[in-house]
Amino acid sequence: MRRNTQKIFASKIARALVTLVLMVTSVFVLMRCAGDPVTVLLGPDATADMRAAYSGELGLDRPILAQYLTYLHNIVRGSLGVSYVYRQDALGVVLSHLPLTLILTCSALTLAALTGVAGGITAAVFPSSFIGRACTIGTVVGLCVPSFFLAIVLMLAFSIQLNWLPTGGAEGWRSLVLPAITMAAASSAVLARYTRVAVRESLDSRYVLAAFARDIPFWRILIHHVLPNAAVPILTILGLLIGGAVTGSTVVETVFSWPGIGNLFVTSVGNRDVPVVQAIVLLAGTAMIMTNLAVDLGYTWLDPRSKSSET
Amino acid sequence: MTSPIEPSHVRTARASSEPILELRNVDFCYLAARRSAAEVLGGSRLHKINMIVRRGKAHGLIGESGSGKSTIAKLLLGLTAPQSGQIFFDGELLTPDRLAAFRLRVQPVFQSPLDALDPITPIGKQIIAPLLVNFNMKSSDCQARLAAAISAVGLSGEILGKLPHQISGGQAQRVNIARALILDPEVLICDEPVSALDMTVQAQILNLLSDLRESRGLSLLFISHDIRSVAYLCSEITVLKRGSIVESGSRDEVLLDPKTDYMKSLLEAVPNSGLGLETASPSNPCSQPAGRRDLPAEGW
Ligand SMILES: Nc1ncnc2c1ncn2[C@@H]1O[C@H](COP(=O)(O)OP(=O)(O)OP(=O)(O)O)[C@@H](O)[C@H]1O
Ligand SMILES: [Mg+2]
Repeated sequence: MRRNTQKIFASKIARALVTLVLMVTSVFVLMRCAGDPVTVLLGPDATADMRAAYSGELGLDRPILAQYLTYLHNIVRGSLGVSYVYRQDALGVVLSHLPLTLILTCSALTLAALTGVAGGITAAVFPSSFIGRACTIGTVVGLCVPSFFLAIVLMLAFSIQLNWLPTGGAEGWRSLVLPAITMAAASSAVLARYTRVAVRESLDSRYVLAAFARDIPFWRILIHHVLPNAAVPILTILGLLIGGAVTGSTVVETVFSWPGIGNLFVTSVGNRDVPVVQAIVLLAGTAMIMTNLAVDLGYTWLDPRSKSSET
Repeated sequence: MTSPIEPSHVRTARASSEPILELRNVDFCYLAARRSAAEVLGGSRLHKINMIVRRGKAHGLIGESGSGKSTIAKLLLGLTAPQSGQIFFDGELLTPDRLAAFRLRVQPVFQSPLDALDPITPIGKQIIAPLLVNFNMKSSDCQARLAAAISAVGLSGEILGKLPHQISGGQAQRVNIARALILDPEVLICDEPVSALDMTVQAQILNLLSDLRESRGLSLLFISHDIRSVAYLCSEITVLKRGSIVESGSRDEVLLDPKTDYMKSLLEAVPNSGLGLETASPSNPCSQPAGRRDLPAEGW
């Protein structure tokens, strides 16, 4: 059993590494397909001398394979080139914006996880009570309202009408509230919906009926049988939400002028700051792969069936 | 709460054939169906159900799909309450404050054995849960009872650490029976306990139920589509049609001399005389020694 688990872990980590290499490679290929970087950088009016000089400087005159190997080597060393706009190491620029994005996504995801799971369980356990119905309706509303619209409504209400919270920027916790709520709303609704379905399914199962027939108290059935069985689908959704959060923060960061990675991404695309865009893509992809790996390992931990291969 | 550890010989000493479970004028309708057309048509409601399960006997309940058999099982397990009428257990009216003790003395065995087991909890843990939770029993006592229950259904101890997906359907149904037996119940409500199993395993489980009935003085309510297994196991039979009882009586009365066209049509659906009535003595169909009993050959 033990050996088996280790083997599964090792193979999952190996798979994550392969995915990482594939992603890095496709970023390289896409960047080359997007057109000659020199033209993009210098514009169409540049002289042949300028172009040749720039090509040499960027190493673009070397064979493609050599370029690829240098690129890989640089990534391993953590160097992704110099930002054209900031005149600094691109990765450094991205990482300097990372803490704010992490603060925003972590607070949003924590809020979403707590409200989504709690709301889903409530809606499943008390489907016809007032609070259960309120959860179900809240879920539907959360799923329907796009985040930019919610952002504007929240801003109008709490910033402009009531003047309680700032409309944007990143000064203190007060400026975090509205972006975090906006970002959490949709995730919370998605999570609540899947949680409700998973918990309901488990509650309706025969093993729960059998537990009732043995007079096991309801809270114990919930904790020992219903929630553990519902945990796997909930974790799957949570993993997808975490993986998507880095890119998902783009809209919210832009609307609330939150100076995080999402905001940087939008400006860098506008500025054609290729190294920064590339660094953000790599970082977001790595975050996605890492959360997938964590979710995979979480399954093995949550679901004893996956530890034993004899199915 | 009463102790579940009443020695079984005390029970068998009581006059058998006295009623242990009784439904009197029970009406029931599912909440969802109350306002719908189903009620108008009388489709999904139980109407004036009167039925007696006697101590130490096996009582068969047959009827077509949707006739309300599983609903009666739920009522008898205290998992839902009738809208009118009474349920008596051991001569006493079942009231909400008696429900907890009652539930432990009447235990279910469901149709698809694997669905009735929590897929991610080890089997041993599932079987002893009620002892730990409801009786705060010492762990050593639990283990002793666990071993007894497991051997009573013919399983070995190594199955206890496994998860449900690692055992066969027949083993899973034995586990379900052991899980019921560990509470030392007086009645087993078996809702189609063998219909999800293949033929030979069906026969083994039927024999196990019949042996348990004899050796422990268990009463059985045996719900089935399959008239042959009811004929094999049960001495009394109730026939349900669209939520009402259309026929009820001893096995021979119902099977050999059906009064209603409905029962006749159910019997006609069984391949010719495959009921095995001539092989067992009518008054005591399960009187042959254990292990030597043969099921009706036809169709098995
Ligand atoms: N939870 C429920 N809510 C509403 N209606 C239900 C529910 N369970 C069953 N019914 C309805 O009650 C009627 C009787 O169902 P029941 O399960 O008792 O039938 P059954 O005789 O056990 O059938 P089968 O042989 O197919 O198991 C059916 O019409 C069914 O649709
Ligand atoms: Mg049924």
